Amino acid sequence: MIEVGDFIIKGLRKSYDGFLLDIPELVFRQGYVTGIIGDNGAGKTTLIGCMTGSAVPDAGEMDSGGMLPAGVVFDECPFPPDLKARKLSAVFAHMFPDWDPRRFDDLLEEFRIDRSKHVKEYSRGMRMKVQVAAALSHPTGMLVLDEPTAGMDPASREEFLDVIREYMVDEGHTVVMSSHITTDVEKIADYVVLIEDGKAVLEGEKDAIMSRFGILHGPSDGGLRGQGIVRRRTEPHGCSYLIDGRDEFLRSHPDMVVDPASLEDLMIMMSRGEEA
Amino acid sequence: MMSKRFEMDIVISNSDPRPIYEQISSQIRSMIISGTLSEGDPLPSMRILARDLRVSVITTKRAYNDLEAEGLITTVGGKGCYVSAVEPDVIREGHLLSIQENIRKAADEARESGITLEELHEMVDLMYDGDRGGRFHH
Repeated sequence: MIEVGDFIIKGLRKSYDGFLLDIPELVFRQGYVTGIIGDNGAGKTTLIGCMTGSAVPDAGEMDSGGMLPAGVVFDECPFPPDLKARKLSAVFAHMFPDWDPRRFDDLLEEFRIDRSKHVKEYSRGMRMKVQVAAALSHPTGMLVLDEPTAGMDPASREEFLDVIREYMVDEGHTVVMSSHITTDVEKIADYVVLIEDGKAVLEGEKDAIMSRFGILHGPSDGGLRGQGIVRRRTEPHGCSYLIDGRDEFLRSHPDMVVDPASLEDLMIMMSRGEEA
Repeated sequence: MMSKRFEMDIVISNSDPRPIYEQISSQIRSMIISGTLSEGDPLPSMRILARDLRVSVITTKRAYNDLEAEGLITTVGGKGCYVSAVEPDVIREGHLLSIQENIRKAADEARESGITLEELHEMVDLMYDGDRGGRFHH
């Protein structure tokens, strides 16, 4: 069910160095946060690059549903390293007609960024915060963020998530955020897409996905078979299994303990587990 | 100006086995049935509530949809959300349920500690009349 305002990707292909990103269809819902998770090298940054124009797709269509322009936060901060944050505002005022310098200053203050320092003096986490502040200081319909919380300490990550929560009060706003810090995605995302080897292998409502999958720790012979067991991973003192359909599995195996799968469990099992 | 909407306390617990949308809807439901929230009181929009409770909009949407289906709240123009007029029967039903729960606890405790049904009845009679008596004496 696609609605007006959704960001739609169709037939996206991008190949380089033997890697192929292949996304037949993907929809980012307007008014919601979609988290893109997956290993490094799975294609998250390539996908975001294609969406924001920093990478040129080999094929594919993208429809932003008539949304306002997107604010982008890149994995690597693109701001001139020798500029001070205070000077950045003047640069952006030239780039964005509706630049709001006051909002930028307020956000830097909220993020405790020293504006008298040069961009190159900031830690990675601070450079991400400056990018986030810039993305939020001009009118956008969408934020596209590549690993925005990388390098941030836990308290800063929480502050960042609160800023996103505030942004989402407007139902016309859409956020697409990649992260390998799956706990951040668990906290903020409404929808999740798992990318593996250039393909979207799992997508849907985050809560639905998290209640659908379970993790079972069993004996090390790895011999457990059964309906719903989709991945197996041998560990030092046993074997873990990924169960698709936790409730059904528990009904037919009431004596077994199946923990709810976190997004991290899911990611590790999908990329490192053997097919069962 | 702070309106009543910001005084609504909703507690979400990870150790509660119920899904979060149900924890939210059940707490708002009891506030309406107990009269803590009354007809026409504004509720935060589901997006504001999602922000404040740090949960997904999908979660607050589901909670509000359930309350709306029960006729406890109304959404006006897709934006504002208000407490509906609640039938006196529904309020009475709410009180009956809560009293039942309290009596069940009392009965369980009485049984476990060997207090007889007669003694329990006697206590209830005393309490019920005692309260009324108390008011008359003042």
